[in-house]
Amino acid sequence: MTRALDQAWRSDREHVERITLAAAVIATVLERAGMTATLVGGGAIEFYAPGAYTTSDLDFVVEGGSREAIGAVLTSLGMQSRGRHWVRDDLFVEVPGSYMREPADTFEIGPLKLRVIRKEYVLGDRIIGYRWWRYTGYGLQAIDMLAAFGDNLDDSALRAHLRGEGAEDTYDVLLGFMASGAPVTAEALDALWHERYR
Amino acid sequence: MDVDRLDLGGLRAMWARRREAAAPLRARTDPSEMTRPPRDPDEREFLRARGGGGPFSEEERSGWREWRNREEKPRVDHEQQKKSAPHAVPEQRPGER
Repeated sequence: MTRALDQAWRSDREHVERITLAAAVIATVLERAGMTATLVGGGAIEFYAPGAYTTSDLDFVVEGGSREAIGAVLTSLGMQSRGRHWVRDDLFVEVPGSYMREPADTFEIGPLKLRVIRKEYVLGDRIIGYRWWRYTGYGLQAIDMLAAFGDNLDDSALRAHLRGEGAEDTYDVLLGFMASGAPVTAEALDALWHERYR
Repeated sequence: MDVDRLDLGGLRAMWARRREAAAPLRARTDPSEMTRPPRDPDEREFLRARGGGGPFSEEERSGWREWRNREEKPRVDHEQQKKSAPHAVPEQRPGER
């Protein structure tokens, strides 16, 4: 599978395909070793809405294995341990957690399986980051995903997730902002936050 | 396994639809000076050295890390907790201003 990872990552494919295939190879190898890996964070956003201002790191929540066991699998793929992370070329893998509480969806790509946090939850976390910590980049990512997903969104699941975190109204605020056609800038998102929550 | 022979047709169609849907918004977006939580220092150094840090500037804000790290634990039922120990659930988050 090391060759498959190289084929995926060291290719001329567009970024979202490299991310998706590399993540699928890693997740599949971890699964074959008895662990369940779920792509979360920016990698999940890139998978669901390519181009939504993300970076090249892959964050996995890995259940069912110790850090040593995870490390052994990633090392077998030619990755090098670097502090709490693993790297190969310009691919950076982090395992921020070992418990996945949100639902996830599994995508099959030939013999590979990629489990990704459900899009309503990765979107919800960006809305929560904007609401409670005023991170304007997260507000932008949330609006970008809302535009990309359109009607293809489980509104009730998203609202329930946000309600549990006290951020359901922020969803409506961002929807309204998106529909206004206004320029999406740091200043505008900051002003919107202050107008509503200050 | 030959990765180049895998069928990405369904995913490519999904990505194309979503890019098209987001295009008008992206045309009126300027991500400069937008903020995100701080990265792990190793990750920041790694990405910066490769020009892959993304457009947002990192800012530490109180309470973010604690909230993010909650992922390690099963969800606390806040409604149930309010009933049994109302003072244990803050009404405002540490990051609220």
